[in-house]
Amino acid sequence: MVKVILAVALAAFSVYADEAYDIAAKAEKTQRNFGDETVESTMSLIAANGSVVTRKTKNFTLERAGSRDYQLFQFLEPADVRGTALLTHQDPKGDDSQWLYLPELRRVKRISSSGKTGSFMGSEFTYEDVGGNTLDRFKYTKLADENYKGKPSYVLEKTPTYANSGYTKIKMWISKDNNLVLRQDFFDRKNSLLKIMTFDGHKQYGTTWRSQKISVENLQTKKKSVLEFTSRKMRAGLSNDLFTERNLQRLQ
Amino acid sequence: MVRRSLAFASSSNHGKLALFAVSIALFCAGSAHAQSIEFSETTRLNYKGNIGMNYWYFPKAAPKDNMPTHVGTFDGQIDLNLKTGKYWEFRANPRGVVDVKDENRRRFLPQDIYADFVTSRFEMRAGYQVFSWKTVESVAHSDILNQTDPSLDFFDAPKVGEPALRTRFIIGDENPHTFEVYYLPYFTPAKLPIAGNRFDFSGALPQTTVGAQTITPNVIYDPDANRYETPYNRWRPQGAVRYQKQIFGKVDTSLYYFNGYKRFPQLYPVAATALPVAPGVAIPTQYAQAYNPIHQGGLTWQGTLDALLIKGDVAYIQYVQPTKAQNTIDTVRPYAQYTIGFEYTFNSLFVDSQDLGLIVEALGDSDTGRNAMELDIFRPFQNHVFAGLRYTFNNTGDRSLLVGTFTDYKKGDVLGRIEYEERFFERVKVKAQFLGFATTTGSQLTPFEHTTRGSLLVSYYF
Repeated sequence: MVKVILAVALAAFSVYADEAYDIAAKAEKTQRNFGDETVESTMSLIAANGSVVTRKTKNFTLERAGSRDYQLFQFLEPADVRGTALLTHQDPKGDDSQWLYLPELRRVKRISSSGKTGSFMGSEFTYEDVGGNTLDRFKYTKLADENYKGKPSYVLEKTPTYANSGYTKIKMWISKDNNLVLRQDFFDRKNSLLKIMTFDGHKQYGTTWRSQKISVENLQTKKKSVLEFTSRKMRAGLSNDLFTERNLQRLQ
Repeated sequence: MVRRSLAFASSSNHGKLALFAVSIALFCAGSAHAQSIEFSETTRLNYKGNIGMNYWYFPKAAPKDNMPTHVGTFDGQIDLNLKTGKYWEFRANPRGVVDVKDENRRRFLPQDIYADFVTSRFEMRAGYQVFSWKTVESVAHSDILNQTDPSLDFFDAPKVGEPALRTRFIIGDENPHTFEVYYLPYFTPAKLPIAGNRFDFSGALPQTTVGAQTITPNVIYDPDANRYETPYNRWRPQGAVRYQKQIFGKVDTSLYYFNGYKRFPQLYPVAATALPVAPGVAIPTQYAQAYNPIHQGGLTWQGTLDALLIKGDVAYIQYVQPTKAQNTIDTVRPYAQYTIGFEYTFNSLFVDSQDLGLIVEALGDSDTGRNAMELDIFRPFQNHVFAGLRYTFNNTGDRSLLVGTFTDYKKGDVLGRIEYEERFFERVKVKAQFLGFATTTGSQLTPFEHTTRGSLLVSYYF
């Protein structure tokens, strides 16, 4: 009898897990099929006392088969970090390869996974957040549906399967009507709610959706970071050559 | 002759520095936030730069009367980058340094002035260039292509741009084989610190006592007295080949061979005292620079191993022709040097969102234990461990605090550094540093104890 109950429970869990994965897969699909992408971003760093400073980057992404995407962040402001660049070669299941070019030292430095949970440009985003965030790096569990800002939404909990993540789990809200991620809550290694990330101003480019504004609020430090995107272009014909270590030092 | 050379260098520097200062002022004044001028869809000029003031205070007693206790410099740099068409890029990145008092520490450094032709399989870059083969944080034995300027800062000597032609061939797509060939048509000699410079290391040279008189020789800077141990003098061609490849999916490696003059010179006597100790024996009073060609091969790597960043730099050095050691008796034998280490970052260790980076590197030399006079030149880091801690506050000013020490685990010598850095008002960067020594008798670092210093650098970026 116990075995039967366990079997039924496991089967039910498995169905929920499969359903959760399918929902996450649909959400990821809304972000794919862009070929390549160029976008300028302005990041506002808002201190607990309300003071604001801004950072500017230009971001390039090349979509590749099996989610082995290449991503490049070119730092434009503040002036002393202009020329700094972060290159990510995404590994859909393991650790991404990341290189940081430091123009003052003229060095290309690799970033280890222990460094990826560090802050990105002094913001509430980490290198882990801005690097690859692919489907198969997580295990998914479906929670009870909710209305998020009046929109019927699926609620999932995803757990990183890769080593050295800064998070134990991430809770996410996905709109039922168009499968777009609306919000993510990040739980730190002590399993306390660390930060809330919200996605606004979704816009469709062909079949690909993008949020125009991503905000993250750190509940522990009370600091906020807001990332806004402009001049987005897709399918402009970016080549592999842009996403190489040797090209990093040419970015100005 | 010395005076003539210095005067020439000085007047030539003044003209270049003045022109450079005007161009920096123009860019500074004109730069709001643009930092880029677009001439057409395919032609764009990017620019950036900084101007700064550096103040150094040396608290320890100076071994010579003419050594300053306070040093002040103005520093400026501009980086112009013109991209045109699909394949061409031109860059000019000169730097000017003006010591308030010491004329021998005024420089116009070209750094990078080059044309670059780039395709997906082939690259060619010609002009003054600064290269970096560095993978480790402490002493990079393989980072040898550029001459450095030790009279500006002996322990953090800035690199000098070298006239060079670099070609690069890329084979493969996903994990390419990269081959580089470097040709350096002529050699740039070092400007060693001389009398009046706080880094003057003449005190490390052998002293002789004749009766009641002690003769302390000096290092001089006279380009005409530089000795090159090949018939082509400074026009001896130099070159290097380098192969780069990623292995095990996570480790970037490079293997290289270099043939050219050793960058840091040996010294040879150019004047002797008129008071011989014994008939036929003269005591050297002045030393000038001598450059010997070397073969150098080596391997560098940096990669990730689980959560660690591992890195290393191993070099093998052999003089092309038999070369005498500092004692002028022994012949310098081939030797190897290495720096191997790792880096790990602790996130939110003490305070949320603040990181602590740990760097540990071991430094060694195959001639460890030999008397320094039996070696070719200054090779102090033979049994050392470099340990560094970088605390990053991740605030809007990117405040960081760095503590680093080189410790000789056999003798107990310590060279330590504490550094604080922060950005203010988005464009002003402040860096404060203390560098100090605790050395034992006979250490190669002992003659530098008087360079213990505190410094403050304030820079404005545009």
